[in-house]
This record gives sequence, C-alpha cells and structure tokens, in this order.
Amino acid sequence: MRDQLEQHLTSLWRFALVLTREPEQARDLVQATCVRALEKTALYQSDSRLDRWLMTMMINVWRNELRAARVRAGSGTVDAENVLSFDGAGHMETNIFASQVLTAVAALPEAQRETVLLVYLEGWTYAEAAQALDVPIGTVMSRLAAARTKLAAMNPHDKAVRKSK
Amino acid sequence: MKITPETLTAYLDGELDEQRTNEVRERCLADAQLAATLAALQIDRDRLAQDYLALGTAAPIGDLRSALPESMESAAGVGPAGGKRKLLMAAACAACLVVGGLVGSGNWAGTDKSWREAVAEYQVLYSAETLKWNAVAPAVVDTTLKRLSDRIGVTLTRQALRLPAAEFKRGQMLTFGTRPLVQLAYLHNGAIPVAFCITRDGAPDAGLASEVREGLPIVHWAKDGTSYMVIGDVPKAQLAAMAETLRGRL
Repeated sequence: MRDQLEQHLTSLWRFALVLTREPEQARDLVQATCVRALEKTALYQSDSRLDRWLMTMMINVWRNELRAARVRAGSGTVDAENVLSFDGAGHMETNIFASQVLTAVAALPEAQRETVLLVYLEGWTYAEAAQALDVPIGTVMSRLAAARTKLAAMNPHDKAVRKSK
Repeated sequence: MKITPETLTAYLDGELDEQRTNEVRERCLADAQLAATLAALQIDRDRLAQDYLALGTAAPIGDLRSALPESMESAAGVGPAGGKRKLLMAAACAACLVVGGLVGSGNWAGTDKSWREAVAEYQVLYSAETLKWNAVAPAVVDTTLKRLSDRIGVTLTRQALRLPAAEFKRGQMLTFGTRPLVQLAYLHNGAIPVAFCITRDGAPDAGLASEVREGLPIVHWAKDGTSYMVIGDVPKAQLAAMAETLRGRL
C-alpha cells in the first residue's frame, strides 16, 4: 500500500490544495489521508481505483477536521452548503493559484467547491460524485449549477472562461 | 416540462440521456431566455482541467514522501517489511533506542545505562530542523496519541500535552530494552527541540528531580510504575514548569 500511495502523492496534493486552499494544510491533509488509508487498507477493494478511494477518504478527513475546527472556534453548526471554509474566505491564499479560474473555484462555498473538484477537475460522473459526497444526484446538480453561475460571473471579462462548455 | 438551471447544467455536462439532450437543445434554440440562461452557465472545463493538472508541478513530493514512513510507524504501527527500520540518526544511538518494530527482538545492547541517559544521547542529536517541517494535522496527532496511550498505559491527548511556548510536533513509539518508551517531541519557541518521554518501568513514585545528561537539562519523576522525563536545552526553570504542568495533567 505504501508504494501505491507514493504513486498518487501528486494527485492527492493537487486535490488537497483545492480543498484546503493552503499549502501547509494541504500537506497535512495528504499525510492524514495516507495514515487513514494505511489503517483502512483491508477495506480497499483492489479492483477499484485507488486514487478515487483515497480522494473520497480525503474529503471525509477534511470534513471531520472542518467540523472540529468549527467547534473549537465556537462557531457551532454551520450549513455545509453555505460555509466558505473552516477559517473563512478572508484567510484564503488566492496567490497560491496562478490560474484565475482556480482562484474562482477556491472562492466557492465549501460544498460547491468539493463538487466542482470531483466533477470538473477530477472528471467524476454525477453519480460517482453523489456517492462520494453522500448526497443525492439532484444536490450535485444544484451545487454545480450554482457553481457554474458564479464561475462564469466571476470572470466577466475573461472570455476564455465563458467560451465553451 | 420546465427546464431548470440544474437541467441545463446536466446538459452542458453531458449527463442527460439522448432524448433529454435533444429536447433541451431544441428548447434552447426556440427560447431566447432559456438560451441566455444556458450562456450564463457556460464555463471552460478544459481550461479548468488543464490549470488543475498544472498544480501538480508545485507538489512538494519530497516532503510528502518523507512523511509517509513517519505516518506508518506512528499511526498504523506497521513499518516496512520486518519492521526493522531504524531512525535517521540511528548510527549514533542504535545501541540505545530503536523504533517500535524491534520490540522484543533482542536488539537491546544490554548495558546498565539508564533510560534517561539513552534518551539524552538521542535527544542531543535533535535540531530545530528535525522537527520544524513535521506535519501536525490534528487527525494524525489524535491517531498517534491514541496508539501511544494504549501502548504505554497513560492517556495522552492533545489537550493534556499542550504546553505554552512549545509546539507539539510528533509522537513516536520507541523501545528501551524490552520496555515501550514514548517520545513526544516539541519545538520550544520554534527553535529548541524538547522531548517529553515516558516509559513503564515499575519505578516507585518519585517527585520532580533535576539533572543534566549529555549537556541537556532534564526534569524527571515517577508515578504509578511509570517514569517520566522532560529534556531540552531550555532554561531549567522553564523546563521544570513544563514538567510540573505535564505531571499535573497525567
């Protein structure tokens, strides 16, 4: 499993960076996910894609961290559809993304961002994303519709963003 | 049938079946407002995917790879094959301390050296760089501490181990002879490595006492058959305060 994990470090890092929007957090999240994967090795089905298994696990690790951070901060329960991130959008390090479109993705609310990450950045189908996120397909659709509206509107002068589907 | 932005999104993403795809296409051709809504949903997915892939070029692969074995031995307790992976600085302390994989395998050199001397010889090799880049993700720490607690018989939590001016950086399972030895590493003021070590040796209860080994100040005590020590090149009063804090919590 360790050798297989090594082969996916780049893709896990990329995935973690979009989730966390902060390199240090991304590194920690990759490490935490690898630790979890090693603990859960017995649950991995060898005929399934390891990278997707790891990414689903990473989302869960991140959500748990998110929840814990909110409680520690005294924020109580926050609607996952609307929350921006555990530390708020104000702390977002937009400069880590040289790409304008990724900066726009980073500014999306948490639930939309993780759905965009799976479907538009990783190329998962709606059904696969719904399963990983544990939500109905209709929720995936509504999150993506909302995200598309924002992504298109965030760069009104960037024709490349609106150029095509 | 009403065509919602969600339906248009699924249309753009190729998630509709052929019949629905044709229906949406025809409705958009006939309905200017619907066509405008469709236009407002259009993004460049190819560009998104390309820029996303490009993020990988900046991945700190060296850091991530070097963190992997650490995670395995500390959290999963499963080292590489055979479990006999010595620590980076093992050359200088192979006779004293070896990682958990060697428990019970007879690699203890058998000297009458005290466990505090062994820890001091190990600790003297630490620098700020040893710990500075160590990840401290709460999930990793919690998992590690639970395993260490189970092994050493002392409940270790992040809260109990929190110290002012010293950031917790890592927990490791080591062995002194055949006895488990927990090493909890801190970085004091971001610069000085400090270790809090615990071993279950059946020692009688003893209050705080100070000594110096390998040039490093130590404060140690024993309680309920377990020995504790705090070691690091910080002023003795500060070290004693750390020891007092930890002793009061555990």
